[in-house]
Order: sequence, then C-alpha cells, then structure tokens
Amino acid sequence: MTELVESRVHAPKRESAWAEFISKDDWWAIWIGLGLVVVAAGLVSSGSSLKWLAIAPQKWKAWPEAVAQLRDHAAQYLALFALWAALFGIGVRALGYRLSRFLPSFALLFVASIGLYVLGQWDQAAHYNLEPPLVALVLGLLIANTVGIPQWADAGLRVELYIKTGIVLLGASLPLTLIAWAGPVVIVQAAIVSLVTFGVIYVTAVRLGLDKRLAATLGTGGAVCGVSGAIATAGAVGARKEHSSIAISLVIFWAILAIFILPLLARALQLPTGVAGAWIGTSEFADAAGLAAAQAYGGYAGHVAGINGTPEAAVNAFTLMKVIGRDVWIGAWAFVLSIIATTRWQSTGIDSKPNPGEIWRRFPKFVLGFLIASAIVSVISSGYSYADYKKVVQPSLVAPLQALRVWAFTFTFLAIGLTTRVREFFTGGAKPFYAFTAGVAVNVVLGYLLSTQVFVGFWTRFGQ
Amino acid sequence: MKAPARRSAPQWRGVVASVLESSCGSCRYFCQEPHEIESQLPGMRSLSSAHGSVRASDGICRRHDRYLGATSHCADYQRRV
Repeated sequence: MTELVESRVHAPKRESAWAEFISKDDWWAIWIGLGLVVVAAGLVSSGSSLKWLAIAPQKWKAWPEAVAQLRDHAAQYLALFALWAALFGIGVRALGYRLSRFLPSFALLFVASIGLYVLGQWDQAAHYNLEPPLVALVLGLLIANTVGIPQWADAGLRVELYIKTGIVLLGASLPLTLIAWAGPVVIVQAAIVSLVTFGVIYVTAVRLGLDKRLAATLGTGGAVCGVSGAIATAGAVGARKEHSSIAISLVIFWAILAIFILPLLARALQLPTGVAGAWIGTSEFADAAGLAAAQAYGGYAGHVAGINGTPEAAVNAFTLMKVIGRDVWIGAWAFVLSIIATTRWQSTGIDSKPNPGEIWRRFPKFVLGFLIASAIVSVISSGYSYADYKKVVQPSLVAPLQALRVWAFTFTFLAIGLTTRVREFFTGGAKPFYAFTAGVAVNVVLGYLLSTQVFVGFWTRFGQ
Repeated sequence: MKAPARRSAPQWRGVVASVLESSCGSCRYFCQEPHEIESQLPGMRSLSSAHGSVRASDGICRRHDRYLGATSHCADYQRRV
C-alpha cells in the first residue's frame, strides 16, 4: 500500500485531457473552420455577408485584366491575408512555432497562392493543363529540390493544418442529407478497397521476407490514409523507426505520382467528375494529395470536351470516399493490428496492452468539424425555399465559404511541394517498394472498377 | 478458499499511476515532442503531421529505435528527470 501511494505521489505529471484541444492540428482546423462558418452564418442572419473578405480572382483573358483585378481589390486581398495570418498564426503558435517565423513564411505562401489562383482563372489555363493544384505542386517541388527551403520557413508550411481547415469548410457546401445518402456506398466501396489493398501489401511484404510490423505499416499506409495511417499503425504495433520512415517515403512517392497520373487517366477515359472523384478518393493515398488531384480534375469540367459533371462533384466525391470511407477507420485498424501484434507476432521486448480507447484517441477529429459545418449550413438552408436558397444562402453564405476553402487548399498544394524532398524517396530498398507497388496496382484497378462499373450509376448521379 | 482482497478507489488510482509511471510516456528514452518526431521521420510533415490526432501520444524510443505508444513499457525503463 505504501508503495502504491508512493507511486501516486511521484507519478509523472500527465497532460490534461483539455490540452489536446490546443495541441492538435485537427482541433485547430475545427476552431478555425467552424469559427468561419459560424461568423459567416451570423453575418447572413443579420443581413450582411463575408463576401467582401472572401475575395477570389475572376476569369480573365489578357494580363492587363488580371493586373487590374488585383489592383482594384488590393484592400480585400490585404484583409484576407490579415484574416488567414491571424487565424493560422494563433493555431501555429499553439502548436509550438514562433510567429516571427510563421508570418514571413506564410506571407510568401499567400503571395504565391494569389499568383496560382490568378493563373488558374486564365481562360486558356485548362487548354495548357495549368490547373492550379498541379502547378502549385510542380512549382513547390522545383523550389524545394533545387534552391531549397530554409528551416525557418517550416512554420508557414503546415500542410495538415491547411488541408484539415479546408475540409471543415468543405462541409459547409455539402448538405448533411447528401452525406447520409452517399454514406452506405462510400463505406462499402472503401471497405472493399481497403481490405484488399492491405491484404495484397501485407501478404506480398511477408512473402518477400519483410518484418510483419513493417508489412502492416506499409499496408495501412496504402490502404487507409497514407502517411497518417502508416504512423498510426507503426505506433500501435511498435514498428522500428526506420520502418516508419520507409512507409512514409513510399506513400509520399506514390501519392505525388498519383496526383498527376489519376487525373490524366480519368481525362483520357473522359470520366464524369463525380466518378473520377470517387476513383481518386478510393485510390489516392493521402487527403492533401488526393484533393489536389480531385480539384485539378474538377477544373476540366466545362473546359475539356467530353468531361461531364460539375467541378465541385470531383472534390465532394473524393472527400466523402477518402474522409468518411477510409480516414475515420484508422483507429479501428490500429487497434486490431495492435491486438494481432501483441498476441501473434514475435515479441520485441517491449510490452503494450491494446486499448479500445485508441480508436477514439486516433480518430481524425477534423472530420467532426466537417460534419458539424455541414449540419449548421443544412439547418440554416432548411429555413429557406429553394428559390430563396439560391438567392440568399448560396451567394451570401456558401459561396464565400467555398472561396475561403479554395484558398486553404491552394496553401496546401503549394506547401506539399515545398516540404517534399525527392532525395528522401527510396530509402528502404527494393522489397518494401515491390510490396507497396503491388498494393498500388491492385488499388488503382479495383478503385477504377468499383467507381466506373459497380457503383457507376450512383457516382454519375452524384456528380449532377 | 480466501476471497481476493478488494482494493479501494485510492488504491486503484495508485495501481494506475504505478503502471503509467513506468510506461514509455515518462521514460527518459522516449521522445513525444512533435517537432523532434517530424525531424526524425523525414517526409512526415509533407503529407501528414506529428500534431495530428492519429498520432495520439506515440513517440520514438531512442533506446530501442522504435516508434511506439506512450503506454508501452519494457525492462529498460528509466524515469525522465
């Protein structure tokens, strides 16, 4: 008893449960994204709108037009920069970065994003394949892997904070009823692909003689949610640090390639935007990379002959498939694999007890923000007739939030390229590469068949 | 046959604290600091983040060179000072 009390007295100081609300970027995405949704809704209810602040470049044909747009709206762009710098600055500071490093880095990111956004509005952009997400990625990769990025700039290149905030804002343009309607198809399609892809990678890796913990880490990286899936499983099964690095580098390599390959294939096959978005959501490995591919493909709608559907449908279908279909299950995957690791696999000399609480602890909390944003706008919209929705809610509430979301995604796409180092690829040898690549091949083909054959009717309707 | 002794709530808290005390989360070899984790796992920040919920409280064990959960434990445990 004395020993027990002694232990309690000297127990290490534990982080408060509340600390998670300010120490995780998921929660900051919720505070920022939902904060904007609530403010926008409040302004609309008082007869005002966030429209002035949510400035976005308009279509242009010649450079003088674009320059004139920027000059005429300079005050709005400055105000928008101040808004994003303040919101992300608070979040980044809470995550432990210095504002003195964040602000100059974010300022450069913002200026580059304006340039990309303007370029994307050129009426010939689609003709020359100048889709902003793809240009942002190429530009970022070129800079990061030639000139290099100074370490202080890291504070402004928080890919996950930007993408999660963008996804929460995306919730505001997706009715809750649509999410509920799509839910069953999304879950079935994602479950089939996730289980098969994991199985292929795991079995191939084990047959090639790789460690089972590495095989599982690679498997969830390819099957569930990319780098986040890989690190969640690595932690749950106690993988070697170098194995975590191998999985991360392979996921990034294939995710970056897929950003370019999937939209090109879908374009060649002239898939409708909803169908292509579902395929990308099924077969891409990371949220940020997949959104770049889906938004790029959505940009073809109306500009490339033979591609039907709305631009939004590609992003919406992708998000439902990837976030609701795959991401939310990461805690369950990690929990099940931790049970298998402790009961079936060779001991590492480190003991851990699987805990079902991990399912919630590892749950990607930003998904809650996405659903709440959807619920808020759905409730507000339910009080309007369809005509009034088109006249009031769409232009005053949904459109400004959509514009803010595009900004958040543009920051993301640039930041992906700027933080990716090509020399970090292929650090783990041939066997992990073969195992992961086998999963990629099966995943892409199966995702294509499910999206374009099995559930094609659903995804085609979804995109209209 | 003698029934097992029942523990009071404070005793159970002591047991839980005892387990937590000797787990990786309080070990000097265990690194949970997100910035350090991102620098140790190159590429992590380009499509994920050490600040994300999915990481929970995982970290890197410098002793065993493994990435594992904070509630794990082993014979090499040494309390962080």
